[in-house]
Amino acid sequence: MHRLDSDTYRLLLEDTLTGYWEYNLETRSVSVSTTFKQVLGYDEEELSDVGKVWKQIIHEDDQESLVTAYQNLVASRGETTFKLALRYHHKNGSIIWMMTRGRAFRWNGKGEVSCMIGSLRDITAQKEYERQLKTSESRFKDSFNSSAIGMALVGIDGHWLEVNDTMCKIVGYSKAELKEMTFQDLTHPDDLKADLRNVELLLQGRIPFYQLEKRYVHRSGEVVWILLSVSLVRDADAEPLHFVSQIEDVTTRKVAEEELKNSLAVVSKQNERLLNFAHIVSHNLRSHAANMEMMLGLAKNEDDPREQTFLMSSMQDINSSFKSTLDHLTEVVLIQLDRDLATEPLSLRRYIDKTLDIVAGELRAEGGQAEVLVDSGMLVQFYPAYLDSILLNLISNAIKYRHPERPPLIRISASYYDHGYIALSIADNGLGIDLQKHGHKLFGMYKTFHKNKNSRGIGLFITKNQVEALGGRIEVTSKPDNGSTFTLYLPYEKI
Amino acid sequence: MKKFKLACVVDDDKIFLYGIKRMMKLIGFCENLMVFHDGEEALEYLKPLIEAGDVVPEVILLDINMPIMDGWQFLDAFTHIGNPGKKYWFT
Repeated sequence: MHRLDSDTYRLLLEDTLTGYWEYNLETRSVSVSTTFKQVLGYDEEELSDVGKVWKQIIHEDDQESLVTAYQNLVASRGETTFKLALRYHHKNGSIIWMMTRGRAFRWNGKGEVSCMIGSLRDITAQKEYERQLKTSESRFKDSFNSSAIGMALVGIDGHWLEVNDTMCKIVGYSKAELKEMTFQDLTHPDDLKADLRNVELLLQGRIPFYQLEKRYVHRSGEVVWILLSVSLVRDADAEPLHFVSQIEDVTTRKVAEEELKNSLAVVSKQNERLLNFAHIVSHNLRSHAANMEMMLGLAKNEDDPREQTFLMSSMQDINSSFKSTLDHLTEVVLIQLDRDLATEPLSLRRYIDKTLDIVAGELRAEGGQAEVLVDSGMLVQFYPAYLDSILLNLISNAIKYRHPERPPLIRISASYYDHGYIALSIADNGLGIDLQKHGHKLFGMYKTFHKNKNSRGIGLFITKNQVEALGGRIEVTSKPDNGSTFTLYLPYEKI
Repeated sequence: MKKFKLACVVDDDKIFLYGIKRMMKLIGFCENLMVFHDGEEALEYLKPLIEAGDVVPEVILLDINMPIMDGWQFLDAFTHIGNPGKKYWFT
């Protein structure tokens, strides 16, 4: 193989649009290639003595770095080389960037550098591109930082890489704190699974992005509802680089939604009650009216005085039934209307004892007993008249519906139930109720289930209305022959 | 109108029962009338009759709102008693 001669080299260099230069330290002369002059916009004939005019060619601000590099090269006796991106003045006045390289080429007898050579490559386009990138990057950073929506760059492992101020505000952590955390740390435990599932799909490329409503736990411990949008940035080899997340605080909307849902539930319950009420009114009152009509019709054509008397008394009965029904319905309406009843903290124990005093005679007559396991300090936030009525109804029911083969045993106990309620249960060992048969009618109006002549079927109906009017609830468990347990959930006030 | 041999009324309202009896008498509704005050009573009486293939009422006037066992519960239980092939009218 023969080596290329210097002329060939020169030709090759000319072709690549890389200018080259040679600096002889002993003669202090600079010689440059045609391309060197070309890239600077000069003709062959111009720029005859680069050595003298180099300070005008190279941008003032970049001269120092060139000088320093040159000095280092000389001082190191050619060990170092340099490669600098410098600005040059094109002949037409524009500024161009050139990658300027230089190295030692020949040494004198003393080992000092006697000749340097180097090249010049136009990198203006590249520099312009870099500049545009920087501008767009800074524009992105500005919009990132000033965005009214929380924005974040999140690592593949979940770590917060970059966050804007809005994001910090949403979760209450500083930028520094967040950078030590992952999104898993912030996410409400119940929402984590769905989130991670989406992350997995995103990483696998099955989805281009995802949007999710979830909860973060604020630094203060409070829950924040957010609308999260996540996309994935991949590198040139389509490998995941990081996530871009947008976080919008939707807590107010979520809270409003919950309230709306609750109102809806309340309204539909009231609607149900209203319908129920309308049913009762139409049926019960109508049957009395129909009967009255029937009796009047018969009375008109009745000659027999005995029959007449019977019809008369029947009509009186109908009339009192009418009134009775109206009274019951009025009572219920008042309970519904009087929702702003003044409730007070009442001693549950005292009211139970009071009721037991009232039924003491009846209980004793049946050979029965009552056991009370209610802490004397327990208070319920209730309306006195209703509490009286409810306790009396349930306790007298327990006695009334005793089992014929055993004396009535009533067990009254109370405990704290979560969400601000006390659970009060009144359990008996009486006849029990077939809940499968009668469960849905149990608290209905005029529904009876035993052939007890004292059952009017109205007690539980009123009781349920009273309990619910004050924000409570009533439930029953029972088996025929095995007694019943009524459980009341009553709101309480902590002392 | 054809007179029924045996009719039945199930209703807990005594006044209504009185009235309906008188009206039935007036129009000659039936020769014999069975009266029950609630569904359970009616079922207890009629079930053995049907199962034995005995004489049963051709028409039953059934009230819905009754204690112990109401009209719907009676209907449920009644239609499940054996002896198909007979048609019953309920009002």
